[in-house]
Amino acid sequence: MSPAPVESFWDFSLLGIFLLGFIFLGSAIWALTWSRSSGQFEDLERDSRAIFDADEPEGVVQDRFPR
Amino acid sequence: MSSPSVQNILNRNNPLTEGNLSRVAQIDRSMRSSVVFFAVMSALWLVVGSILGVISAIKLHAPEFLNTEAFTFGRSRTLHLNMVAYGWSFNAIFAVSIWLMHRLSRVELRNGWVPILGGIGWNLTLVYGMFAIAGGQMTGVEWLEMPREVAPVLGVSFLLIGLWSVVAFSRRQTTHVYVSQWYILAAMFWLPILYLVAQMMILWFPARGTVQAITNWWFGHNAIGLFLTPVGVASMYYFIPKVLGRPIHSYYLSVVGFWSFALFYNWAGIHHLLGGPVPVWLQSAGIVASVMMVIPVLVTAINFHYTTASAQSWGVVWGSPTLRFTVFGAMNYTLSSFAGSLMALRDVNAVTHFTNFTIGHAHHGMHAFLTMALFGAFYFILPRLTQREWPSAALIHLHFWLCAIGTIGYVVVMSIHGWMQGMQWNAAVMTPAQISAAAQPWNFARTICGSLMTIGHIVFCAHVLWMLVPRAEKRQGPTLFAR
Repeated sequence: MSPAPVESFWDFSLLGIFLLGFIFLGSAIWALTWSRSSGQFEDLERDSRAIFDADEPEGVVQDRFPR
Repeated sequence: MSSPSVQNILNRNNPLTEGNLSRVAQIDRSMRSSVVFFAVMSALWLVVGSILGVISAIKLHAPEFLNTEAFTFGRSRTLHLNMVAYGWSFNAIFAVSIWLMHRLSRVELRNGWVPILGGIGWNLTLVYGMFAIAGGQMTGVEWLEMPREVAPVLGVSFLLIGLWSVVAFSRRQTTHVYVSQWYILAAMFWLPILYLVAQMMILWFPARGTVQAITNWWFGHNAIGLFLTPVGVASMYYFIPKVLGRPIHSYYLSVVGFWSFALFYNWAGIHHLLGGPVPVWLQSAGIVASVMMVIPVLVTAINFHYTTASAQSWGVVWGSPTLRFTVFGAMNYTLSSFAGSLMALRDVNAVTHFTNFTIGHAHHGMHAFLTMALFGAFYFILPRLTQREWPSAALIHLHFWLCAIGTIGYVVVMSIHGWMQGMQWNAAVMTPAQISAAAQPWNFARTICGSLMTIGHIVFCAHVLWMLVPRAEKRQGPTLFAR
């Protein structure tokens, strides 16, 4: 007895969801590997200062209530 | 050579021309139209959505209030939920994520009309969806109530908007990827897959049996946890050290926090179905993941607390609109997340499930944490984009106190009453009518607290619009101190 069309689609879509899951798992592993190999974890002290620049430097409070 | 802060002051006194704009100001200027568009849309949705929340709350103790078909409790409550989620939160997050990603990547926004086009599509579709809900054309699936035909348009609109954060990241002029960028980038990938799978498995090609419910809560919980929360956390990781002028306490912990967050959050949503007809192993996995979420939350709490407290910066926090809201949001992120982990335990869940406790918890996360953190972000971003100072300090104070008192009052009222409700249901001594009657004073208190928040939102929206009118005081320069 052949399965109903919806069930066939459902089996197919389950396969797609598994594939999608593996792609996402692979992406997460790739991202973690990339961040290690590109030196993202090498100098965390320096990296924590990445938000500061010449216009908004470290040591200067950047926001106050308007008068 | 002038020091940077002196240069900023000089910039404020000079007319804005291409020649004397700093790099940061150039980046800000490129984003002005897009980010302001999303900010205004978010503020408008917030006001309308909050008013509908108050209408729903009033109906719980005065059922005859606004007794029309479009505003029955089932519809007004659904309209409230969809407007504040897809209208306020998503638009606000589009604004904050576009701004943060371009600032951190040190690149200007190119072709800014693309995200605006996506934003127009997103918001027009939402308007259609809201009229459909008001007309009774809803799916009945929580968080996916809008008719299924809106999904393709919302999906394409999201891609047009979210893609620009990814494009900014790919064009970045920095070697290091700051932790906020990790959170935003991940969120922009997580949401489309969540939405696609949920739409397919629930509305377009419905899965059989309880798989629909499992998918529903996997989506519902993760739409908050893997889209709204990461951008809220990204915002706090940026603005707390930025405004204080001091790097985050432990960058190492922030990295641990991100990866543990990515590992555990995805599994937690199933705790919404504890005790339901779903496999026990799946429920147990949801409980374990919910408890494991203590790790990223604790890490984030330690980081924010020590960054703020280590140099006795509470005066700065109180004196800054951005930090006042953001730190309030950070504290409540910790509290609401710990409460969420506790609520996932079977014994606790047996009391809190199907009670006001859950609704209090939802508002704790969505308002006391996320909304307050987004307000904080807007207080920093909008003056820099518009080159205008906030017109009134008094309105900022008023906005803060209305929202802070309203949201904390709401969470306390709903938590106490929710626990009492759960005990009453489980004891089976009172009749359902008696339990409902006992809820009336609490429902009234809920309306009061919700009204306070709503008035606060109206104040915020009016302030944003006031700031945008040409008469508001105009300042110049890449950073804006109130002097």
